[in-house]
Amino acid sequence: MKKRFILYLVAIFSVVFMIFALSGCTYNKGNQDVSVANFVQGTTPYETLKTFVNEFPNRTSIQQIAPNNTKDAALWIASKLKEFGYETPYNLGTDNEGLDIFTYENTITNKTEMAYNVVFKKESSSNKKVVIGTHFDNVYDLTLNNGRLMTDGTYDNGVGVATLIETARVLKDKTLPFDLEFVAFDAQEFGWYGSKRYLSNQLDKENIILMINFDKNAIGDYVYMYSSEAKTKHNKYFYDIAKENNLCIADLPSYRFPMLEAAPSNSYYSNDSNWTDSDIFLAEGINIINFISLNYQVFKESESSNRKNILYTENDNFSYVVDMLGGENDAKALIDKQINSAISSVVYAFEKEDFVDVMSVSKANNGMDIFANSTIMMIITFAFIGVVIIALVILYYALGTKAKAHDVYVNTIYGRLNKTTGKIENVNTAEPKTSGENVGSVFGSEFDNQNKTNVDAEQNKTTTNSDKTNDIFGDF
Amino acid sequence: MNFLRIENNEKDKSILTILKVLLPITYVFKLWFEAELIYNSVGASLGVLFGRILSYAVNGGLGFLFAFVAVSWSYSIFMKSKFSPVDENCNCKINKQTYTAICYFVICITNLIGGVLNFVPYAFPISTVFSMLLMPRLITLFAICGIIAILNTMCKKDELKELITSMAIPSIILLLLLR
Repeated sequence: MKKRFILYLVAIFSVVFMIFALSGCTYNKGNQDVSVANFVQGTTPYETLKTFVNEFPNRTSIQQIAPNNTKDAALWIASKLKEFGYETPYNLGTDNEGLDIFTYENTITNKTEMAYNVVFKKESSSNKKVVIGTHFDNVYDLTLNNGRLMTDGTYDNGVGVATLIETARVLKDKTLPFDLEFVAFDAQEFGWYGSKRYLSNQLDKENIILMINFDKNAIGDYVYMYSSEAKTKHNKYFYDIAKENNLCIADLPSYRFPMLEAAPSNSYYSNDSNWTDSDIFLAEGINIINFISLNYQVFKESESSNRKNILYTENDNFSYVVDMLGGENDAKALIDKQINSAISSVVYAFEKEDFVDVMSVSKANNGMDIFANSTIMMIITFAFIGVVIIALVILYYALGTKAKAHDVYVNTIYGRLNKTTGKIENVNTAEPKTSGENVGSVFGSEFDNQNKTNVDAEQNKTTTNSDKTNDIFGDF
Repeated sequence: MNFLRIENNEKDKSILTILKVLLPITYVFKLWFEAELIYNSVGASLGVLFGRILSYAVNGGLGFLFAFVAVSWSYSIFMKSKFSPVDENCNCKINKQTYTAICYFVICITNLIGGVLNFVPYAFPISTVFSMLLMPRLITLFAICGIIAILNTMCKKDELKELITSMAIPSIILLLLLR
């Protein structure tokens, strides 16, 4: 019987650990050999990325460090979008150049800093709206991790800007059944101020059926799409399109890292995927799709399994990234492949007839908002514990009146106490009458001594109330 | 559940020894989600391997320690109850080794279930509070029902009322202390 028991345990352990170990090992990693034929045509992501980060390496949203470069970078993005024929939405606080200039309190400099969102739109006859966004600021000349970074932010987030501009290029001549807005957010690195500012200007948030975000969406081993921790309809919609068109978009493995720090939405279970502008939209209940390029490994999360880390290191430079990826040709091939996959999945989705219907029906939070709210869960938890305790106490009194009590004898650590006579019986007998020889050990010696004193008192008949001698819980 | 009836001899104690070894292991598994949270917030600075080992060990160790105290304390309450099942000499029929083995056995199984259920946050947008507070309490309630069910097999048929009554306060202790 014991052998069988051990076998059962070993079997249970084996199954559990197999599930644990294999749970994420078989996920679809996307078509890494995707060809140009799979993509929408007319894009030049690598060239756009190269131009942008080389012209504007310093995009830190701190005026002491980058008094003009952030604005210059914003103007460059605006000029590109204007060149493609997009218009400025004046009702969103933008000026003639397409810039929404705002200030924010920077917690690093402890000063009020100026920042520049870039907003352009393409209107339709519908009141539904899709937002495509990315942040363009970086952490140039800041002291992070092991030292001062002179990084041009190729990975974080030059690739996002290149993807935004190339998506705009592809969509410029297409007629869409919804309004489209392109937004380049500033001051993301210091607390998502750009996306917060953009949403605060929005008067019709409920009409936004989808927000697509590009953040660090190339250079890593794989490109993932992310909606929220939920298996949402819109997430599935985009994944199905990626699979239909054989794009290099990988499924999210189940073993991503949890993080304790609150995400911007401040209520969702958090990991690296939602530490970006899209989570500000998610917190408002808006459907999001976020593209991110990483390699989620078991108990390890980095851009690549065999390359040095890039994010927030001195390695986040265009020249270093190109060398790391094996030279210009290999770097161009990888970056074009990954960015084009993201662009293509977006464009193919927009071209589907049921796009607006699916996005309008899909819920960002999968209808489980209560479970996502920490405060409500806390209240439910303590209410649950309280109800169970009350139920047990009621059960004790309700059943206790019907149950047969054996209150003549009560077990003690020294034997049996006869409550009627007040005498201890079976004291010092070799045969253990109960297994209670260790009773009281968890209370420590104080309890034992107290119990012994009480028993001694019983034996000496110094007290007549024997009910109080043996149990700290009365009837127990 | 005969194998959980443990007399006070070395041979029978081997089952208890196995369970005592398994319990902390299953606690480490059950609390991996919390351990990862701790690692990501405070343990990462200690290094990927050492920080993680420390987070898992401390968190799992605390879980085991609480379980040890809860089981010992609940038994001390249970065996002294005037409603606990007794033999003809008014001695508690369930000795401490047997009670401990039953509790550890059930907790080991529920820990494995709890460890697997920690994957739930990956499928649904639920808060960490659910995984760290409510779900363990639900699993503990499930474990308490299991413990009472096994204890019932060791009692007479008409002793269920007495058993539930005597397990009421121990159940509260288990509910509050088991992680």
